[in-house]
Amino acid sequence: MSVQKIGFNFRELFRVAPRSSKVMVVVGGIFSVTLLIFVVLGPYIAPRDPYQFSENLLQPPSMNNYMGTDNLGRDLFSRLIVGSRYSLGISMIAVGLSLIIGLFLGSMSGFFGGNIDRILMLVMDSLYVFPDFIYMLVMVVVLGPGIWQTALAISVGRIPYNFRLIRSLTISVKERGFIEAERVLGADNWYIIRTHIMPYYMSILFVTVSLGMASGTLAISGLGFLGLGIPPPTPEWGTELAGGRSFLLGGSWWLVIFPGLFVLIAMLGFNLLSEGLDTVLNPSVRRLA
Amino acid sequence: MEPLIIAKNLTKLYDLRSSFLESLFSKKERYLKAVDDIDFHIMPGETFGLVGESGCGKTTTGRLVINTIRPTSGQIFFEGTDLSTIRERESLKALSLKMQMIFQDPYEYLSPWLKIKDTLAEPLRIHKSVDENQIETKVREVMETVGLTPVDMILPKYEYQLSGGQRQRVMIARALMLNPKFIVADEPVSMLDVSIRVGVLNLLRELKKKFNLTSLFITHDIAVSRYMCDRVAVMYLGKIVEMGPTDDIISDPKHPYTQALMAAVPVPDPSIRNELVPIKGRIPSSASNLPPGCRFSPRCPYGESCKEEEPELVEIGKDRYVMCYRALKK
Amino acid sequence: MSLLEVRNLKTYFFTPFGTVKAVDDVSFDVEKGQALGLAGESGCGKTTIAYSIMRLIPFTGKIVGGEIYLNGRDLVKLNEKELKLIRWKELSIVFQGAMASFNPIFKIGDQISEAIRYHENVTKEDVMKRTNDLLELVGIEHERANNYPWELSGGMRQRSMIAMALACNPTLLVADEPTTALDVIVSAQIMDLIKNLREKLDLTMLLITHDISVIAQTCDEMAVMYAGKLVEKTSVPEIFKNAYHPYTKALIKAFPNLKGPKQDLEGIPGNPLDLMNPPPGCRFAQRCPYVKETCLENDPVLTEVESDHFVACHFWKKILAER
Repeated sequence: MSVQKIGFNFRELFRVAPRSSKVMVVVGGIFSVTLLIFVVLGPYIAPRDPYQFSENLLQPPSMNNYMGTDNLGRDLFSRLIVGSRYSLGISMIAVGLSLIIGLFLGSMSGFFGGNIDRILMLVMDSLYVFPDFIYMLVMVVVLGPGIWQTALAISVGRIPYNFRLIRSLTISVKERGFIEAERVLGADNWYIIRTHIMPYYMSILFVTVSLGMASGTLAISGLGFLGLGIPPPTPEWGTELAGGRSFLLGGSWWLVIFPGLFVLIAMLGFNLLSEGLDTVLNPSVRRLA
Repeated sequence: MEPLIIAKNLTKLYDLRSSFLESLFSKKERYLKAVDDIDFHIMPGETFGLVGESGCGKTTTGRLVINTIRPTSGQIFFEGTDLSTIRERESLKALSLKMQMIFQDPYEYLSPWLKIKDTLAEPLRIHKSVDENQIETKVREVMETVGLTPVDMILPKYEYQLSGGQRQRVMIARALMLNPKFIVADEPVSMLDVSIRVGVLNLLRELKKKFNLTSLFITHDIAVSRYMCDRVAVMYLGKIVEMGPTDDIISDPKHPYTQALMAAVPVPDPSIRNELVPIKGRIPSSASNLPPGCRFSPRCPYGESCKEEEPELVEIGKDRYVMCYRALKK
Repeated sequence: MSLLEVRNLKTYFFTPFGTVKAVDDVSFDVEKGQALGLAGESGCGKTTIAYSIMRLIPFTGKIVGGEIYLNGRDLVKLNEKELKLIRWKELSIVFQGAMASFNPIFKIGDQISEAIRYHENVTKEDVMKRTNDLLELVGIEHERANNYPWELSGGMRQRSMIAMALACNPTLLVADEPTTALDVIVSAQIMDLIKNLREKLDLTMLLITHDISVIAQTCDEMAVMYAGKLVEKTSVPEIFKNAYHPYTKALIKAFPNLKGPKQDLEGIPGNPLDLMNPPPGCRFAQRCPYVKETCLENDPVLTEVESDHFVACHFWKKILAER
């Protein structure tokens, strides 16, 4: 009975993955990529200037304004597209920051162990006790509003999670035979980490980043909703949603539904992508049926 | 001629105390004596075997000789130099140019994310011993030597695409890349299929002749040690109980444990049904709570009461050593 | 009628990469009271045969053809309910890596008792007595019934596994690599135990191993498998003296000997076969010293070349002539 292992050949991995996860990757990928395009090209593809006032106050969706206008006559669709720069863009910065710090500390801790590991674990475990939202709130209050401040606040909450993930991955690879073989061949620690432990992180990288984007976006929108995010007139989704609430009873449903929809698509996109990728990139014999 | 490797009073203890607190508060020391004060030497060009069952300390001894773990006490001399005195990173790295290791498990000891051509080039790149443009030539050369053919088909593959026998050959090739003088082979064939073993064993024999390699061959199979080794040491619970030229030991084993090992090896010949040496019991779970006296006495079929003092490894003939009161008496 | 009759058994595994023909048209018999050793290397299909007989193939595989007759009943046609009545009572198995097959949180004695209680209606005292008897049978002291698996050595766990397999007095015992992973001396003790048990209980046994020395020491008949096919089958003394198939001969010669003069061993060139896309013709052709054109085109058929000696090779006559 020869069950072949698959290794890191992406074409093979996609071929043998179950259909459900392939669908997830495709759908999630479309959503995520679309939003990312908005982040990069937002101002250029938005049909109107998101900050431009007009006289068409509180207009429902129409051919002129695909998602209607807000109480100052600004086109909602354009605002939300440009808003992705904030809701998603800040999330990207936060994910990047927390990943780099988590990777560095986690790999040190996992590889060298000893007292460094004990101290870091202690610190990270204590941070992990509180839900990351608390840290975000505290930091936002302390640092004040603003792009970098928000990014920093969100990244702090995620560092312990990334740290633990990388640390346990490092520990599991460290004990494997080929690492010992490398030592006998004369390789030093840094070479081993670079060449043999780093590739192992690649396998979880996509998933971690995807998930991070999802939770980061949710966190920013959450902060925005609470009024603690980037201040208006910046069209961040959460802030828009909060602003739109006041007009809901007046019948302007689009001011609440569409911002929420964008958040939903972001969450769905990244979560589906990470879920699908996880299944595709981590084949197990059990699923070969 | 001077021995290439000398082990003197080599000992490795592992602390068995299970927790930090226990080591603080309990006066009693619990150690696992993986290797207990052994001496041996390996001459240049010879294959020296370490034979024994699990827990006897042969694998630990192998790691001590190759310097991946440090002895608790005692010394290993390589070409006259005490390994424990080599401390700087550069000197340690230089040591790996002279001694290499072949591991037991060809499924775990090759990197899964390198192609074979990179796995084999790696030692050369780590030591920068050869120019980049000459690496491929050298890799191909060594692959031919170990029989990893057709070379062009194997170079771009990953380790999981090869069979067990091929993987083991890759491991051997990798060890040979730096032209070492000395190789430790830790059970190189026990995880391979029976029909593949012979091919790899014969390859090792050829390489020994071709490159005049000195090696330490670790195995649990005494029949394989007869096939491969010039001299052999039988280990039990961390000690060498018998040592000498392989042919001498096989034809006239003096220690009861050696006799039991030989009697227990199943023979592929139904007309020879094994007469088991009536050795009782099993290997104790650790060499930490040993009774006084000869550590083999609880299982010794001769039932002698060698229970006061542990016997010494005594030279009873030219290069022939035994650790047994009874064998000495005769 | 033999106790076990396997006829044209085909067990395939279905993977996204293709179909693995693990057991491809294999037939053999085991007489009552006999021990048949099934020899072969990894990937030859011997473990799959054991699991096919026990009807324990994982869901990725299926018995796609053939019959397995136990005392005249075709096991392939039975459903789970009917199989439950047979398993452990008429045939049982000692799995490979048995030492790891015990539940670590229950005592050994309890696990053996459980096997008895699950399959039979017995009183508590009876169960206790039978458990103790079983342990005694395999050479374990009664007090050990109160130990957990991790408190026992590898050899003792293997003995306990054997005791558990014998709990309901099966007629057929399948042992999958019973001595691999055990030290040499303990392994010899287990082989001794198996021999004794066979005599005492008139046990019929199917012993699966890659180590033909074990078969030489414990079995009456030997069948050799290669890449999903049966290539040779006959009595143990006969096969070691007069093997026909080139693979069998090479296998026998692949063991370094301890007694007698030192011999140079010859390995088998080449690599094991990929069972996903076996080439047409004889599966051993690539590695066979006698290979000719017909070997690459036609699959050899298992033929009775002497009394009770079966070989699947186009050139068995040639090999006979060479003797």
